[in-house]
Amino acid sequence: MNPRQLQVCLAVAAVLLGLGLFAPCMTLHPAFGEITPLVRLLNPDLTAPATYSILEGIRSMFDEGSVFIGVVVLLFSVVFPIWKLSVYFMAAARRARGLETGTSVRWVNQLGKWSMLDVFVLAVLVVAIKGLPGGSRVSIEWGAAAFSASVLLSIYISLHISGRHNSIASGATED
Amino acid sequence: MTENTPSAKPTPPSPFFYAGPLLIVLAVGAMFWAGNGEREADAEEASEKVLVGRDYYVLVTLMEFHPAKQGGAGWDAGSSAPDMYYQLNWHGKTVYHTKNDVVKNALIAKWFGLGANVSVIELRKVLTSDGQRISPRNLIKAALISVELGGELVIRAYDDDPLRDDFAGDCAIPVVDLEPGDNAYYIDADGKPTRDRDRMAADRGGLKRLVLRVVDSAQPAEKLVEALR
Repeated sequence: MNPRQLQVCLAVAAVLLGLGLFAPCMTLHPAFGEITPLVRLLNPDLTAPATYSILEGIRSMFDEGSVFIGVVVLLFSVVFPIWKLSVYFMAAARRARGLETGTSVRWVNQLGKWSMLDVFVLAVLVVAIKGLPGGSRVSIEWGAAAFSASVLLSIYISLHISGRHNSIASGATED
Repeated sequence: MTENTPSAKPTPPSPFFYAGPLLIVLAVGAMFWAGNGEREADAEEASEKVLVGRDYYVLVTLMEFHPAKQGGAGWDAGSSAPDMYYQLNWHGKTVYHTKNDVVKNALIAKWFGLGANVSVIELRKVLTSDGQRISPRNLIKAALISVELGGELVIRAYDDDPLRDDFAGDCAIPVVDLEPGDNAYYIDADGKPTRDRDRMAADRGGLKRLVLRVVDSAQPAEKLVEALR
């Protein structure tokens, strides 16, 4: 993959990440078992479906006092993916000028295993909510697909960036 | 004079390249916000007047009194707040009232369009007598009116007292001016209803403001429940 193709892929990954963070990610359909119709009648707010994006979910965590979980999700679902793409963006620009990709790429790749934590957190949230009693269910919205596509695309990009980095490093050794 | 040679070291890219993905993410977010703003504006524009010839449920969902009656007298003995209720008059007749649902000792009262003045056992019968079906129409606590040209809906507000109820004020609205959803009215210095909050009388006494909910009665029961809650 040449640097131009890398940059296009990175731009697409950034757009997908933006969509994944801002678009609807999941809809919660609360239910209260057999008395769901009764609750719907007496207090429809309790049974109204609620749709969240990832950022709205994080904000609600802060609003409800779950600061630690909110910070963790913010770091690994928002900050780290953006930082990772930023480093790759710079690395692609450096490659286009015939330079080494830089040590930041090595850092990102070292921390790469953490990058799946965002998917893990999302999965845990979904399973946790799906496990609620009373028939509550969660439907996944297209924002989750965009977010997952961004993560997968960034992994694909990392393979090419890493390969180039290693070849440059090995070339330098040979010189 | 200098010349570029093949051995010249390439210049590194600007550090601003780091900001590329962040800017793209922020741009996508800005487009989302802009899109949401447009949808909200469209929804506001879509709020039309009621249609002549159609039937609508109407009820007051919120009402506020001034701290004193018109003329400055207190509502009840001592410093007690009024016991609030209202009547809906249409064609000169009282078509709905909340005399049996008085909000006691309050300056702001709320009412809901769905009542639960039945015991849980009775309600379970309603809910489960033929499976899962809900029939909330018999629980609707609102007046049903028809929109006609020249028709007028009058909301009369009262303080419920043991001997004689105190009249707090009224609000006469041409029904063709109503909009589906919540209609907020403020009583101005002349005692007339206005939709302009800035024209609300500051210390006139009596009725201060109200919110009238208008719901199309031709909706399915489930949507009626949602609209009247």
